[in-house]
Amino acid sequence: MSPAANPGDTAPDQVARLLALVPYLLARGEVRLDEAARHFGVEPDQLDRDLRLLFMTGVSPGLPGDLIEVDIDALEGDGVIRVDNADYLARPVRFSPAEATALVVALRTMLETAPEGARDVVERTLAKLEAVAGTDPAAVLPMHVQEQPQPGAEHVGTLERAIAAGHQLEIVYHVPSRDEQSTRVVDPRGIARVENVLYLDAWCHAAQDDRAFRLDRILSVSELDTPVADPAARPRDLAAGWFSDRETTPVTLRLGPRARWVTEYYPVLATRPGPDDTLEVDLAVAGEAWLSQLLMRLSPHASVVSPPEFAETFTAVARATLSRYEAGGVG
Amino acid sequence: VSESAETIDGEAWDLLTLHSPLDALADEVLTYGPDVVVRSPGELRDAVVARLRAVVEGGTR
Repeated sequence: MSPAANPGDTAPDQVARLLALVPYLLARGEVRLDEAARHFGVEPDQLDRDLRLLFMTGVSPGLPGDLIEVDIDALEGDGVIRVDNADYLARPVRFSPAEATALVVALRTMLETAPEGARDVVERTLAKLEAVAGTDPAAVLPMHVQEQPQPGAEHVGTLERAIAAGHQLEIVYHVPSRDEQSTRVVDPRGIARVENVLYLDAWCHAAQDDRAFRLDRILSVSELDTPVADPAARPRDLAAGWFSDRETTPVTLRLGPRARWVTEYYPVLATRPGPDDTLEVDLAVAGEAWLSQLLMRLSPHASVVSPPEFAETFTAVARATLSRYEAGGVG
Repeated sequence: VSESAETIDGEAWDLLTLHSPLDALADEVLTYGPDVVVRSPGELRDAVVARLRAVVEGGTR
């Protein structure tokens, strides 16, 4: 992909728009389709599709009255968006203890890596949730959330400033496969957290290609005065857990019939029929921890054909888990 | 969805009580590896142990 490539409307774009649409529509009650489309910078057709998806969405627990009710006749006839149950949807939300706990944990996790502008919002939201929890001991489940300093997090401030300013960066990066340091100039696009590892998504001028740099392997970083080649370049969706560069490892799995859903759920590079009604699939795996979790979930209907060290890790995790039961249990 | 939680074994473990179909719960529990252990019901415990044994003893089903 060249740095000038401009990806089209992606699923994350649509989700972000759907989230913004609800308060936008509720605040107005009625708005023309073309006006709303202009507001969100999309074609009316696209917004029409968004709305049809939005009608399927609602607040929990998803009873008919909880769905967002939009007047379809008005939309198709007059091109007007009208929300019928705005009053109902605007009522205060009540969180169950599990929901409140999930929110608190997610917000605490976000706090460390949130961009400076968003950190304030996260802190205020946390404070409100925790204040409610303080008055009602049953509101949040007891949990031990220990924040561990994220390796490489010390670079986040510099990286964000350079991304905001559209400046290039010079980084000194440790390449583990060659165990050497390299200094390179990159055009930073965004920071992503994948499986608890922070990555810098950037165009690398040394490699002349897209690269995802692990922050914990960046030894030093300095912001340059030079602007990036393509200021409009947007971050790739690293959070999907898959990215096509040298950080991935090709893995071959053998799947039994009950594990075949994997081929429909994750992008696979190739599939071949294996022995005894099994299927061999090739995947590009970015994190061994992710693979291990998938294999555990599939057990015993999947095994690793290659590389052998991944097969050993999987067996070791299964053995360690089994020993929890054989040792007479916990507690 | 968790119904209750308490700390046991000197904060080393959290004890969660929850409702879920057994098959889905076995998948979920296995995902966490040695960090989650089923105490009851015995049916779920046996299902998880049987699946782990099958992996350790080798072979794909």
